[in-house]
Amino acid sequence: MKFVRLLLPVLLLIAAVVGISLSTSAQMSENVLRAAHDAEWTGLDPHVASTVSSFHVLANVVESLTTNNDNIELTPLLATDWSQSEDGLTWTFNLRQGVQFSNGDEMTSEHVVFSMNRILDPNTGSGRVAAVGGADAVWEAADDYTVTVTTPAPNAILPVLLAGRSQAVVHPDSVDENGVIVVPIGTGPFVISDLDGTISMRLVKNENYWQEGSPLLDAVEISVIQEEAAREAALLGGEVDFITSVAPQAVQALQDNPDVNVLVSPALAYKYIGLNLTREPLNDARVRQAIAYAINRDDLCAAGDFGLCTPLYGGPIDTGSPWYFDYAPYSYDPDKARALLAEAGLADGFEMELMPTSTYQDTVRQAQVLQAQLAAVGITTTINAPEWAEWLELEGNYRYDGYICSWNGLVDVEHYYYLQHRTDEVFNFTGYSDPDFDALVEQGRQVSDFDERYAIYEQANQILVDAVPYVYFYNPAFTRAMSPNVQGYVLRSDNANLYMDTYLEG
Amino acid sequence: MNYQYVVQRLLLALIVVLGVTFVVFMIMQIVPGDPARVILGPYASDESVAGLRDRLGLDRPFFEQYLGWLAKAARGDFGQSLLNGQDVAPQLWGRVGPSLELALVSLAVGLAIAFPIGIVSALKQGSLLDIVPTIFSQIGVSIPSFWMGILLILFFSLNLDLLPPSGYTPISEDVGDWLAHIILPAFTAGFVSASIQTRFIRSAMLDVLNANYVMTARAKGLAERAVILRHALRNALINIVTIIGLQITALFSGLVLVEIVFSWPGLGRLALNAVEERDYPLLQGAVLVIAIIVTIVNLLIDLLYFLLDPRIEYA
Repeated sequence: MKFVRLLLPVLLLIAAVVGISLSTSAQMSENVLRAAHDAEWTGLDPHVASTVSSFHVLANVVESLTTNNDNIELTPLLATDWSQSEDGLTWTFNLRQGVQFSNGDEMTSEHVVFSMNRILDPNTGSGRVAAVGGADAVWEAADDYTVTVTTPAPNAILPVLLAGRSQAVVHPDSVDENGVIVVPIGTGPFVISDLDGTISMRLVKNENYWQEGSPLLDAVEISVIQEEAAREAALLGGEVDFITSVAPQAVQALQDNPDVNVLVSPALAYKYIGLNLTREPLNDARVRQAIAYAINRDDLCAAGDFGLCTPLYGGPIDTGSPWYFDYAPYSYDPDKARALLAEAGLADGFEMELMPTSTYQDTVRQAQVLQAQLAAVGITTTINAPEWAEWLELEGNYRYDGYICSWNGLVDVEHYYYLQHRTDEVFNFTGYSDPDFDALVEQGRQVSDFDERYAIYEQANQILVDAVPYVYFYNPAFTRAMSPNVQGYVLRSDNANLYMDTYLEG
Repeated sequence: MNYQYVVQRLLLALIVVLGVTFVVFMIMQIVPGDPARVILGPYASDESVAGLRDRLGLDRPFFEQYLGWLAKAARGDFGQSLLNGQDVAPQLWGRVGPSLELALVSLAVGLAIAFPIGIVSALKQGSLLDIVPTIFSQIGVSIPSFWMGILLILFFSLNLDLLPPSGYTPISEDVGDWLAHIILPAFTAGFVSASIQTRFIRSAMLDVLNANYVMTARAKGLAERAVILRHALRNALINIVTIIGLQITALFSGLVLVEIVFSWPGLGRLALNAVEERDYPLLQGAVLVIAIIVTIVNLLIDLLYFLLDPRIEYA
């Protein structure tokens, strides 16, 4: 019969496949790591890209003058040492000699100046101008292995700011005729090859790499598996050896599995709600404090990250950091929240909108919990969850009451305070403005002694926590999971994804 | 065959395809969201965003941008992705094959399930053989495909360790591996499609089974098998083919989710990412290709009617 004739081949195919998949299950190349990343990279121009997914690749391909080691301490990379002039206006960087780009050219000061100027060039559209000294910084080559940068005002923390792969030194041949870097030529341990759009690539060992004996792998085959369950299944089924992120709800189950190693690290990141200080009644600090008291952070953490986090009851930095400040007033206290609202003349509560983004589902889950918690103190909320592109536009134009988001990759203390909260700073989306706070964070930029800086930022932190332009939720955690034979990989609290010291055992 | 009709249809198809690209271009301009802002992230300065907008040509007037795109596209130049700077055309061609493969295999799976069940249900109307498939078909329509995909991954990849959970191998590289990777996604998409098709095949069969010519066929003493296959099914096919045509179109939109769950490198996943990141050139290219595929499928379906029923004429 007709349908039997149709069905038969299908059944035969299935039988064939079962046989094939059984016979080919243990196929693996010697020294190639198969890694599944959790998101597609959004461009590989280190000076322009802004997503974690792009830098999970780029960190293995390009390098910057300075970097942070695995303990997030500032260390030399392409520069061996640096010094600041007496007047504080000029930094001098001595470059490492004998460093080659992957195309074989030697890296010299000319390449550094080219790269920094590309970041400063408004036509590049780089978001990293501040990190290389600001729009008025002047980068110059003193000789082949010395570069200087001069800024109009002293910048004590420039070497700290330069420590990021987005401030990468690239070869000028990376830039195509449209002014774009599609694939960068860097000095890193790996080279990008077999690039297939934004879904797969191969990182191949850079034979010219300057660090003797590195990298240990011959190649990393990178694929992208966005769906959490599929990614974990690929690891458990042996399709891949390594995955960049584990769903928080799956961490426990994977940790119990002897065939998988799970790494969990507290993140130099925080999740928060930004409040619109240009709107009533959120322009009243008491109302914002009421929100800070009304929030049960444990419940938020359970909803957003399934308990894999550290609650923040004051400022954005948790106890594990040298920059932790012991000021944490906002323990969960709905009565106090109601009292503060009454004091602000809002005993009957008020209405506001919460703006998470549908692109990041954890923010939506947080908004739902927040909605219930705020309702308990009389604040009625609606949730508007636009997708990321629209969200950015609403946030950037003060068209929201409270937006839910996160800051990631924060290393220096300044990353937590200056960019987001100084008056009219480009990243200040809440409209917060306080001259005392501004003066402190300005001062903090010009001092390099730790204790002196600590004292300055401790004051700034207290002012900010009392003013509550952001209500901090918690520090999340970063995760990786891998087969037991994957060794040498270090999960860092800045989420940098480095394959240089990774190797396969056995 | 009526060639004038074919030419008419082709011209119409061209207008439809152009119209689709124009509408999509317009929608992308109207919806909020700035690609330069998406590329640079939430914490880039306005100057940086302005600089990037200028470099990407996003400030030019709408018609200038659209016509510029069209003129280039006509020559096969789809421009560069705003986000990753790569040429759009090779990215598209790389995705067409996997998408078509998945669509066709899903359709085959769907039909392989729907045909026998649909026909048997119609023949045994009201019996258990009818009721049980109807219930399953209801379930199939109700289950979201991404959820079913995850369940299949958990069962067949994790519990049984039979099939790979995700990924794609080109058929030219390794047929067995290709097949191993396509089974779960094709079954996920095919099951949903089968649920819908089963109902249509059942009702199409019921219609013809009650027709006079079937009664005549039976009356003149033909074997039941001949009655069903030669008379009933042949006539029911016209309706069924129409449904299959619609199903292929629906499959393409349904494949977006399946492609994401199974990391299948298809056009749907590409288009969705392009929308989210406001990557106009990439989205335009993907939409153009999908529109062309859907139009061709519809054209082929129309032409199939000639073969199935030579009496059909087109004005």
